[in-house]
Amino acid sequence: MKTIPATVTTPKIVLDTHTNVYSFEGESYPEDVNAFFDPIMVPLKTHLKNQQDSNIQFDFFLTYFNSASTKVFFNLFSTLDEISEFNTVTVNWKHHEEDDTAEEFGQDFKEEINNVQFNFIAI
Amino acid sequence: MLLNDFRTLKEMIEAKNVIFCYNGYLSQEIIVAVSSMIKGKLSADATKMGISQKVLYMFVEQAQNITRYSPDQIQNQEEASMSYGSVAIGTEGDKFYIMCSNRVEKTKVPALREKLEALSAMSQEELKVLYKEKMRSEADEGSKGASIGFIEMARKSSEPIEFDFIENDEIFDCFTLKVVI
Repeated sequence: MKTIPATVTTPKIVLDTHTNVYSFEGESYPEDVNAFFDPIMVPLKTHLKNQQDSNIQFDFFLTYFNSASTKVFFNLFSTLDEISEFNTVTVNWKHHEEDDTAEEFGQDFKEEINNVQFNFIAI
Repeated sequence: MLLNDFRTLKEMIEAKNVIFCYNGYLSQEIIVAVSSMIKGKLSADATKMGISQKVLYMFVEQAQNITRYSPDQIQNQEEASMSYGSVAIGTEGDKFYIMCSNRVEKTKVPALREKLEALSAMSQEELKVLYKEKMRSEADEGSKGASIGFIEMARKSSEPIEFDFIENDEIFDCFTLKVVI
């Protein structure tokens, strides 16, 4: 299991490739989004694409993220959609009860994925 | 500047119900610090979370546009890069406005103007379609962000985005943008 601690502009990321449970929690607006996310997302996507008949779970609790980060997550969701053909994929999209902005982002992402169980969890 | 000049400037700013106003070199560190101030101020004012998140979003997008694209940059070996521009957040009635201004090379103005004119004329539905299209495609050439910041701002703005380009000198125009929440 790999844990990348949060910084003021990047989320806490937990990647457990054994249980296939992943989480992203916090804020995401680094100055250079690709420099931060590429080393995480490239191996993660490779791992995900090699999964078959697995239960894969993603937990998101992102309180704030910039447009460049949105694109990173959008790309991740497109991979999840791809692998959902051979796996059971669940996304838990957590947001503060009053934070309709985060909820709207979740709606945008949900529309991109067809075979993924997408749960909204208001906290 | 005379004491009186500075006071006049301050009074002008306050008359526009400005919560925050910055004119100078911006860096990522400053953006982080100001974001923290905005969260604290809006929370103290009991602003609805959905609204304060949008205000924060607009501020960060606009400020990061300046750090990425303002031509007036200082690059030091030891220090992070800094870019010159202006950002302001204030209220008009029960709405928030977020504005930014920086210089832009004249050669880049026509493409930027065309992009923004198109966005300001689009309906929410059209903006969403374009947004999804951009999300699935590669970033525009020369774009350090995801080239969707303007679209996202237009989607989150409760009124069409306002902008203009004013002659600055032979090489640069002054670009100013306003969004309302």
